[in-house]
Amino acid sequence: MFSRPMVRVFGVVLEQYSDALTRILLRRGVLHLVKMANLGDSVDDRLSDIHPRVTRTRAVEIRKRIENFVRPLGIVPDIPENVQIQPVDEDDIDRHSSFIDQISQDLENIRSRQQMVNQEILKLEDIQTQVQLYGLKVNPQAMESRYSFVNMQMGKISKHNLTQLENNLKKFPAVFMNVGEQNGDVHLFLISIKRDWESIQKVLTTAGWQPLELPDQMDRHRRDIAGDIDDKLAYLNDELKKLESEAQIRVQRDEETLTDIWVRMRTFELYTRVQDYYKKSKRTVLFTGWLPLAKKDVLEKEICRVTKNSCYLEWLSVSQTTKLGAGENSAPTLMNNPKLLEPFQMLVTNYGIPRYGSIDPTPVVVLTYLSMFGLMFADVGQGLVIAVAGLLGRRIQKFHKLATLLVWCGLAAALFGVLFGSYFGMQWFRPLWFDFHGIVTGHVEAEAGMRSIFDILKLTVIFGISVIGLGLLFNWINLFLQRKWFELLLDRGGLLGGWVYAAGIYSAWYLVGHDYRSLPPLFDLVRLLGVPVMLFFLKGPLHYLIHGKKFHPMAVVDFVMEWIVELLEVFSGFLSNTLSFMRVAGLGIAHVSLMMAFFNIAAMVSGPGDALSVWGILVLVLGNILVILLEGLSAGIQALRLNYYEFFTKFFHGTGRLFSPISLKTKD
Amino acid sequence: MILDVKKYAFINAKLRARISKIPDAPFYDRLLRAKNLPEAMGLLKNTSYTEIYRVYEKTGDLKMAEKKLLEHEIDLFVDIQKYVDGDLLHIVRALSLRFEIENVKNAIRLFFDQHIRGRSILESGAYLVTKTVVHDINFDRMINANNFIQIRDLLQHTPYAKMINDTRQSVEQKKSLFDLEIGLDRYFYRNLFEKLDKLSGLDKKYADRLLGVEVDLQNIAWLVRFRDFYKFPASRAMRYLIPRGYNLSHDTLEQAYAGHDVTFLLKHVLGANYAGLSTMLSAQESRQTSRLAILEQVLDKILSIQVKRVLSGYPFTIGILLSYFILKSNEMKKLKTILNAKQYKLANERVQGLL
Repeated sequence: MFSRPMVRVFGVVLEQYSDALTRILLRRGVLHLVKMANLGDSVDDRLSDIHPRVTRTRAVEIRKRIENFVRPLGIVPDIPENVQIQPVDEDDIDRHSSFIDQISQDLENIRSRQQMVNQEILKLEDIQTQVQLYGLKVNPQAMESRYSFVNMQMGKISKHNLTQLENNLKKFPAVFMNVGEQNGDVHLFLISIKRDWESIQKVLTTAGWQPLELPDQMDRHRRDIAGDIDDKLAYLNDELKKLESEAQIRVQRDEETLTDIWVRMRTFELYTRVQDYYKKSKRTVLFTGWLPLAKKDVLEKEICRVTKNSCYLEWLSVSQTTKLGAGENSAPTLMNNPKLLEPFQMLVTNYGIPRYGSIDPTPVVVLTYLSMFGLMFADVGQGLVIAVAGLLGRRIQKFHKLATLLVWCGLAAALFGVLFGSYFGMQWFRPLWFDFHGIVTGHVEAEAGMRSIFDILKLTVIFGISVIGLGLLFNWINLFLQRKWFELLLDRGGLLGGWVYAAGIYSAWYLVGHDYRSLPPLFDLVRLLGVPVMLFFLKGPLHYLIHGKKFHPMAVVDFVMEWIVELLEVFSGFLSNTLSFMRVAGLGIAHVSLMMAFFNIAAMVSGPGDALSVWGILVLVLGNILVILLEGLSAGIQALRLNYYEFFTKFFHGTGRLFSPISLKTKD
Repeated sequence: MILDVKKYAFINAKLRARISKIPDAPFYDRLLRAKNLPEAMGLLKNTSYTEIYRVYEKTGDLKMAEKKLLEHEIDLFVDIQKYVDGDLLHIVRALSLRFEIENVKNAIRLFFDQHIRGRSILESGAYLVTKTVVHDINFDRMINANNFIQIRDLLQHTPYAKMINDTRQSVEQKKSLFDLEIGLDRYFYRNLFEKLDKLSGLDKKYADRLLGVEVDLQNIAWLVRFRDFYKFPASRAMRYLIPRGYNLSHDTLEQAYAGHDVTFLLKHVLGANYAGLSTMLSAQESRQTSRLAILEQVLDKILSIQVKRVLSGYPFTIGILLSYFILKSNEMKKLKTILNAKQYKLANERVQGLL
């Protein structure tokens, strides 16, 4: 519920150990470094920054170029546990840079070849289109003049040279067709691009080509030519694919070296990032940062070891550092939740980071979020489908947390499905708690505890009151820990606000319990609501007194106005927050109603009788899919909204800073 | 006001979401720093341009990738047409005509190269975008037409037929498409302003301002072309310009073309509204073309300032739609410029001047 206790270290080591210190800080990865400059005037002007021998920008550029090569192949480089953190100099950077330039150049060459092949394909496709559009009915002379880029030739070669010619013509966008044989010679009709004619002519001469007159009518051969073009296109497309693979193979060939360079550049980048936080004097290096108290002894020992005890470390508790000011100097928050709860921690951090020392609501969000989702989407079958989808989605690293959240939500839906007896919208087993479907359809047993939709609404309002009450309690604890007594007593989220909320609940319950005919007795109303309302009025003047402000008559008007506004906010805020939880019932009812609608449609398409037809089953399957997608999404969003706006706003300000040490595993 | 909300709430929310996906300056910087085209293309993977990367990865052909980019943009604009009606639909169609006009120009250029200039256009036809934007046009037949009459007939159901008819003789005589192309561009703006003139209030104000600056930019770009490539006398150059510019009057443009100190003039025109641009304006260049280039840069900056103002202002106006159109055009221009620069190995400093 609370973040891990932190401790601040101020350290001084001899400059000769600066390198060893950086390595150990990187390896341990437990220190959230703070820039010495943030200490303000206490930092001496004689201290200077550490400048690495090589600029980080060049290393980052090389790393990013490598990522650009390997990521399209699905390779995500990572720093191994036992990595050697080596120094990097300009020569290394130049060497790596030219190595990458070479790969880049090779890739560019491959892409150029791809482009050439692609253009040949385009030309051939154009010939194909022309042949398909116009056939070869037209007078060849006209064809030649109109499409001056297309060359058509009729000729013959010896049958023995045919294979050789076929092979030699493969590299050109040309098609030829065998139109007949005579005296051991094959008669061929050849279409090619004029641009290539010179080269093709050489190939033809080698094969013993003898030109013949082009016949006027070639249309009967149109199909054969189209077939030849198809073959040629298939060949070129195959070539294109090969080149595409060649580009991948080129990168894969040097994958190991590229990964090694990536690791080296990345470690150097992180190394210099750690050193950015240092300040140095003539002989010493100074650093400061936060680390979890539990890691203090290990880090202290390690630093002393690598510096051969030539270091001075001063450890300060959080309370001892308050005089350093807020912002970067305040303690960061390291949330203390088991890995299992990661998806819920994601929901919390998406809203904000809890301030150090305040309550981290993650464990409570597990309960509130899942129970809200379960109440809105209660079905065993549909829940298990979501859980399975989540389990499958967990394989994708990018969606791991979200998919795990889906698993949780699916299981919660299944649990509530068992409680309400819903299995893909059907009641295969008796509900363990109450019959949600029966209540919505109006077919519920007379002796059942929950009988009407109003009972469900009441349940969700009670649930809402509990959640809001818990939010107020957390706020009181936070205010108590921060010793903010004034806010704890008189704020609308403080004890006085809680009093008003409790009194409001009592009054509303009394009104409902008396059939909306009478309010609590006047004395009770005055005691329960009148007193805190008047106490709220004291807030303004007391604040004035505590802060020693000079009184002026207009301040009274301010007090009254602030008081009225505060009362409006308190009453309307608590009322709307509580009623907001009725959406849980609303979505639950909508879920059941949608399933009912699909059952009715299935019955209608199946015709008379109890049995469902194939179409009826199909309607139910599609209906379930639609409900899972539509209702699942809206239940997820509404549960999140209720947590953020009705629960978190009571106590959670999200003004903390996340504990982010620089380590070999740092991703950004 | 309620009507404005009803008219613009959905489409503007959709466009704002799309605007948020338009890459920022650091993205173009990274692209520009790439060593060559394959590396620049690699940076497009896992972005909204991933399809373009895939096309390049498969074909190695930048023109194919550019074609995909244009098709993607056309799809977005055709998609917008589904969500609007009435006057707004007419405006979206008028804006989308820019893509159609470009496609028509490209098809006519291919026809022209093949039939008038006698050049081979064999693979070029494959790079032509033939998607329907507003009018259903058979681009394949256009390329394969025998003469301009056939092209005109093929475009009979579009406003372009008349322009072809009007300029046919001069194009054939001069063996130049200049008159036709400039006529098509002028038609785009004339048609757009006709549609925008039906607007009123804040819509009208934003439309005049945003499109006016766009027209200023177009006019400047043309003046540079007229001076450098066509060597037109001022009287002829001025005849082609599009009216209704926002900052640059006809006189200012004429003086700029004649080589007067336009920066001085512009300072007066812009007044205190664009104080931040004074540094750019103070740069004294001796060559007229450079002066025009400075003007273009200033106007480009003004356009982005105007777009920012619109985006941070009242959300239920035509301004969002026009801003989206302008930002998208800029995005396409930048992307194409950088990728082509990488292909032809232009120096980064030179490319930066073109962005």
